[in-house]
Amino acid sequence: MARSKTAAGFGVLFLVLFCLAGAGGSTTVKEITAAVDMTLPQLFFSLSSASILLLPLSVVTMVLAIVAYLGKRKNVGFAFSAISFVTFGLFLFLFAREENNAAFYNALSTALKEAGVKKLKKRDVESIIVTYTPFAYLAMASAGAAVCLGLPRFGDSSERRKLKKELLPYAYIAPQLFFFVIFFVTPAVYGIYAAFTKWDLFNEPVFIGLSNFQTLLFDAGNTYYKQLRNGLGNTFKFVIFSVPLCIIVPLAIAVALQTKARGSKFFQALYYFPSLLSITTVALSWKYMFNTKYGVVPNLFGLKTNWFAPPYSWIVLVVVTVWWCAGGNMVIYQSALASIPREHYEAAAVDGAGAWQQFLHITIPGMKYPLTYTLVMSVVAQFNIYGQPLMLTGFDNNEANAVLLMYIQENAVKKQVAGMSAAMAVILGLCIMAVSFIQMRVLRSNASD
Amino acid sequence: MKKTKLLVAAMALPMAMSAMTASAAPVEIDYWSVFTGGDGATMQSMVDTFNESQDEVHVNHTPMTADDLYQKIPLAVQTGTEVPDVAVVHIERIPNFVENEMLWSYDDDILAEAGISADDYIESAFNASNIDDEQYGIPLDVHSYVTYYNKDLFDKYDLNSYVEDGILTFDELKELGDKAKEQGFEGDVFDLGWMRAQLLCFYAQLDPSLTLSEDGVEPCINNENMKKVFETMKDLYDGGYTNNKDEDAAAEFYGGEMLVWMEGIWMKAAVVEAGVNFGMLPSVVYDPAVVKNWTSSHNFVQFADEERTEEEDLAVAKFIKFMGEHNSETWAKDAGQCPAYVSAWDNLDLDELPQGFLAKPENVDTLAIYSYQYWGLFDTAFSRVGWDFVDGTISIDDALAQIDAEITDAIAAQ
Repeated sequence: MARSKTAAGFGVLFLVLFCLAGAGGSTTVKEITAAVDMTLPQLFFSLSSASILLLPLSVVTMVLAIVAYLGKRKNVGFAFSAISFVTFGLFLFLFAREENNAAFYNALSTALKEAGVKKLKKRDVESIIVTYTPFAYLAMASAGAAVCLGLPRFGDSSERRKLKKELLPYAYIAPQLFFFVIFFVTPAVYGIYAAFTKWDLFNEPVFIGLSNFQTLLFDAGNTYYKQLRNGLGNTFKFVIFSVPLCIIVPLAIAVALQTKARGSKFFQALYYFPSLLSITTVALSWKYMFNTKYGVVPNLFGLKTNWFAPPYSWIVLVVVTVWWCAGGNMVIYQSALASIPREHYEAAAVDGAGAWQQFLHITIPGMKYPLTYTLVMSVVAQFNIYGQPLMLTGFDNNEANAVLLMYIQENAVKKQVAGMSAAMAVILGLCIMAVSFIQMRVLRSNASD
Repeated sequence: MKKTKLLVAAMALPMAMSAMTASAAPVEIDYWSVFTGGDGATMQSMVDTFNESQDEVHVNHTPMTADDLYQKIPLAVQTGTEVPDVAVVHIERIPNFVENEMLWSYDDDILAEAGISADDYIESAFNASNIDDEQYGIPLDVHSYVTYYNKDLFDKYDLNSYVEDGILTFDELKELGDKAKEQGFEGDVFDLGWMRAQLLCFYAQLDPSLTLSEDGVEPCINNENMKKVFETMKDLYDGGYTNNKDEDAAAEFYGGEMLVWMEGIWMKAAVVEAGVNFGMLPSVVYDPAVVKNWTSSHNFVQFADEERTEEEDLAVAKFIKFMGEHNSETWAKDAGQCPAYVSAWDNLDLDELPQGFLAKPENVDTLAIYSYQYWGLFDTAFSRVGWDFVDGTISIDDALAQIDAEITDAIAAQ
């Protein structure tokens, strides 16, 4: 027990030393020498070479090891700390051997230009020498100590069996964990960091603290304050308009198809089909259908309405979204409906319950979890609305249908205001998390009733 | 034994041949361009001509929309992956790219070795991409926004007197529209299409100094001249002379449902293909004495790419030289552009080309080339309000204030 705690302590020490550790790079070009030092967190945020991606893996696995050690799961702690040790060691080995190390090249090129080297090109750089600070080696030793203290007795066969039993589940999730850390945790951490910077995508981000959030939330005269209010407001409007229909319509279709009427399989395929289409195909098709001059809808009904201006544009956006999304939820509901025992309905019918009462008291409670799942997923999906308003209404009509993701994309990629854009994305993310959290709490409390 | 030797020889021969081929393999060049419209096929044929003309360099051409290119390039340069060896960008974008150290200037020795000389190019276009004595762009052409008119419709409704002098004023535009409508013409008189290009033509007539910013940084879009331009466009829309927002102006002109259409000279090939009997004039003007056409220039540039070799740089320079020297005629005749390689003009009869009037020495002053470091921000900010001030969703004053504020706030946040 004491060994586990000590191992956890070394794990924590590793994280502290990791933050303090750093590396130095130096090179000479045209007889001018430049050298720069960077901490490991700085190197991580530069994201300039593939081996840097080993750093978050090393940190995440060490955090998991600490949790496991403290949770008295020594073998699991050993496995995770070993992964952390290996990935960190691999990083130190690979990073120092990179040809013309990209992370340091970027920093050194600035130093060399300031020192008077004109027209610097990588091909002029002979080699970049990378060295690590003592903290980096101490961090390595610390991780090694965490591994050694958790080392199982491999000679004992019962210990080996226990080790295998405990680690097998983690082996199954290992590939997912790997990709989760590399492709989700790393960009997410970087995105959150970017929200606190001023960044034009061309140059290195400059840390500016909470300035972006201050502008977005309190500077009423600023363009981005207005964009956030308008974009977030429109996003909320869209969620409120579309989510109920994204639940009710597929539920109604699923219940109708449950009757197994003639041709129900055909209609099931028909209703599911839109889900297979890309948003571009869907949006363009509907755009032509609602075109004021040539569209089938205005011509068929003799309407002169501009369907792409508010308030009608909201109708178009919701109709298109429900048409596109209903199929996915419908399949989930069909599966859930099939799992409700027929006996419940028969017993209710014997007791005199009508169809509506059966639906309310048997079907809905029987679909509690699929409904919760689809509700949360629909809310998250509709908060991330982008393709439909971008292609159907754009920024027209005084940005009446411009949603937050449109602003985020445009600011980041088109206008190179990436720091502000990341701050908008963080606010949107917090909104989604808050709404999802409230939903889960309400639905869980209802479920426990 | 003999069989074994034969087998070895049979195996060795292709290997030796492949080794010989490898040693003579052409230098592969990745070339990104913004030519996806009527000029896209022409550019591809020009690249093919270059590839077939020699076997030292092979150019792989990737066309994409300008929006796509300007979005992809910063990410490509930042990550250092898939950076094209050469790309065509608009001249207005170059100052911002240089400011952000995204472009590498051409090496004088390499240009000299490939035979590229400033004397061969339109002076103003070549010099426009020379910043701090470094040459960042080699112009392919200059291309202007002009006025097309449907000759058949002008004959039918007896409107030719309005264009006899080669100039069309806003007053004449309205008059000829009224006259055609009185005779039963049911289409649109004029278009509101790519309004940013139109407004830059009109603004240049009112402010020949082409001021979008007084200090090169802070915008000064919200001014009286720009307001007059916005009012002109709204006036045409309110008077019923133009198409509506969801109507495709190009389709209307191609289909004989529009009398006068403003577009770039690069659309000439598409107009010819549509079978329209057309004439070409300078931009519609306020005053016949002040003619200005918003003009841009496609420039060959090299984005920062640490992996590119000197051999590839030389191959790129040879490609650029060839495009000017041997392909300018094709670029002028098939794509409707004005080649920047003036040495090739001797082979062209400017009077025979619809866009030829732009290349005549007496018309050099009509080419309005804007240069503003934050051109991209201006473009995006204007696109937001394009139709909104025309159809009255927001007032002209609010639209102008919004454009100014968007640019200012974006500069501060970058």
